Amino acid sequence: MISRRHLLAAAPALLAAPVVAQEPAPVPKLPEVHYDPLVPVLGNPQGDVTIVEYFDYQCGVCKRMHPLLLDVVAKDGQIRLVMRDWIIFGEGSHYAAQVALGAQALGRYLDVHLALMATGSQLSKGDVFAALSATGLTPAAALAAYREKAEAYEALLLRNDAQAMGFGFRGTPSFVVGNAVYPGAFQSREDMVQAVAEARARQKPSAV
Amino acid sequence: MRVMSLFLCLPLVLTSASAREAPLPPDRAFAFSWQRHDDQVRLSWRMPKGYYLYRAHIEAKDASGRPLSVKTPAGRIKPDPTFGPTEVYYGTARASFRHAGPVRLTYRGCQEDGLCYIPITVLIPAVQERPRP
Repeated sequence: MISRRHLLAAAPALLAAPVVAQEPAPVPKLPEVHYDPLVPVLGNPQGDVTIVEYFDYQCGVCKRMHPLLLDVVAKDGQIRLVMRDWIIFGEGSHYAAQVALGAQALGRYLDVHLALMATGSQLSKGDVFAALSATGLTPAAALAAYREKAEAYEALLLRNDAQAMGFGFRGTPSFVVGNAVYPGAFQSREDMVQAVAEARARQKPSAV
Repeated sequence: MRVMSLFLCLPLVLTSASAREAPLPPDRAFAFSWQRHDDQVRLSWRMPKGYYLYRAHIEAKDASGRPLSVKTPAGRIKPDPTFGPTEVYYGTARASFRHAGPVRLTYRGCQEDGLCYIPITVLIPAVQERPRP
């Protein structure tokens, strides 16, 4: 069992090598993880604590826990929630991420993201089209906006992937809360609230 | 900027997400083995309690990337009030296919309410040609 608070530098050694060996990704730097001009931010963009979620639109666990996470963020009022698409389940996830990022470019991220997070655990283009019907935005319109910055957005998706691999994450959802790394879903509201409280405590100058 | 400079001073820490045990490495979450007899390949998995494998995401492809027909037994229907039922295996899983060449096998699973793992890929080598007497 991985106990609480191991130095992240030790994380890649703690986790078994993948079946198909790959070069280890470098450990990402926190400012780059927390701040990115292209990445969608929910909650309070000026908040004092950042939660970064690495997620996939075909990850059932991500979707089941998302309403609780959004509720914790809303009730706290001072959390920046950074949503990083980590495409681990293939084409359907990539397509959904492109639509969501296109919606971000149009200033429509939240409602499109929520619609996509309310879908089943497997996504086809038809599922995405159906999910967006209630938003008034078509996938075609979102994709057109996405294509205007396609190169930059694809680079963002690659950054997200590199960060997640650099943290040694094995799947989604995985989180960075402040400067702490949490592989896997939170089990309860109390766990989320505690992670945020601990992040705030560590950010105090006296805690350094 | 004050916040960012503060982050630079902080060590990064790894925590478990809760009282739940941290997710197992994939080779322990889905302990996999295979046996080949000529072109017949049998696959098996063992999962500890709290881990499950998706029936629909056991996929095999030949060296050209063409999908192979994988036989899988019926799994357990995992109800999901939000997203509908999915068919999964708890405890153990078996599957088989026929192909003499090398095979790229991919499977997916999750820790219950914890982590959905990156798809795991295994390369199964081709039948070894027997040396002729």
